[in-house]
Amino acid sequence: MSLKKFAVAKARALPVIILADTSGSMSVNGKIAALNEAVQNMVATFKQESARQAEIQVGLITFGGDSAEMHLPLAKASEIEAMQPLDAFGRTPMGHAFELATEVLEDKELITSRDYRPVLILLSDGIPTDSWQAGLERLTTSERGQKASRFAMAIGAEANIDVLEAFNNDLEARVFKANEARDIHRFFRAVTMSVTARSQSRTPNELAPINFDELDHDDDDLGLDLEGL
Amino acid sequence: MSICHLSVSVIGPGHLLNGQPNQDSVLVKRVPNGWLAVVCDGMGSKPHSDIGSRQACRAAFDVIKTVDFNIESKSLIKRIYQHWLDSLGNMTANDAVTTCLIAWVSDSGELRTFQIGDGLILTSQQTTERSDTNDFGNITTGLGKSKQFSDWQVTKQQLKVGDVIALMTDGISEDINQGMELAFVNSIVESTDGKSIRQAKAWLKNEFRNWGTPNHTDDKTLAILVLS
Repeated sequence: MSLKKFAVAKARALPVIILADTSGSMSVNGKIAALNEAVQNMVATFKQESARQAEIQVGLITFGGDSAEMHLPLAKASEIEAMQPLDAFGRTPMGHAFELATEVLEDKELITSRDYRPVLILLSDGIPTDSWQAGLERLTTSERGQKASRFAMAIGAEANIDVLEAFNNDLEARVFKANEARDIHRFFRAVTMSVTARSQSRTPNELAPINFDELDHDDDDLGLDLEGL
Repeated sequence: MSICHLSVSVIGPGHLLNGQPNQDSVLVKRVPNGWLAVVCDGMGSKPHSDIGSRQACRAAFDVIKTVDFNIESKSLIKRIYQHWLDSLGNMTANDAVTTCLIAWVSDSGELRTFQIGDGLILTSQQTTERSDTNDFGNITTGLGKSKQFSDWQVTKQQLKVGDVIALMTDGISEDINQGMELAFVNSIVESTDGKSIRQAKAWLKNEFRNWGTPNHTDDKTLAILVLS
């Protein structure tokens, strides 16, 4: 008798949600062109990676104008057709984009507990016009949103790094700057490494090696010295 | 009461592709007045997770063969954990993180289980609840990562002749349709009945290598004990 009938017929997915800034400030100095190139390259990279091992799903949230929108619902990277270049206009509702991302992450039918830890990638010049902190707080305090890996890439030489750093939670890969093609490649490499190689911690703060000395020494503690070994 | 057992560990396609070793380990051995089964899953990205998982199996055996079956749970876990740490030599614990699933059954059919991290221990009497739906598939804890007693799931149950005990890594348990875990294990027991150990292992390895879930990448390790 074959055991196939017991196995779940659906692959475990690795969700990657791109949050792309398409506001008016992105229309100058070639920023939207750099963003379009980054998104296209990223999807192409994930298509290749999906063919090799994990099934990567990609979703695209754009934020430009009055509100953010789910430009491309979460779908298998391998099935995404050629993407039309994005246009840049209007205000920068980054906080709303964070809220949309939170809704996607909290949808347990869309992203199940079997799936791999989701990755969020923010591509922006970092100049939001709405209350982005509230949106970010909702994302980072939600049950599942707080467990996602968050990377940020700064588009353009004058990007506001502070906002992007507040978003980024990868302590090993700081905010990347997409001024040159080689920077984009470095960014892809870091994201791909995270996606395929790194095992993950229970909380975002544990992405770096844990300092066991900081844990409580209460009755629950097994009293072991893990640091010196 | 005697035990029939079968254990298999196969490397996952993901590790094969990346030239990495099988990071799971399994051990089934006779101990004084009972049997011990241990299944460990080394954490994917850690450089010495294959050694961590192997040493965890060994540590559980080395400790359990020297202690009384009624030893207090926390004391036992602490001794196994410390033994594992001591066995790592120059490696840091953080580089050898591993889950650890232990089933210790006495000759009278009393079972004690201990689990840290992902994976599944089940018996004919009890199937453990699935993990938190707010978690994701590659988030786990283990030896070298947690030192909290509360991160361990500890159970005690009385088994009878004919009951099965199964321990499996999440490479298997996460890909079994929910609610079919015990039927899956019973199906393996039925399918291997009458086969030699060698034939049974070969059949099961082949099943795991041709696993039904698309794009499966994980190592797959299973230990089954049947009380007879």
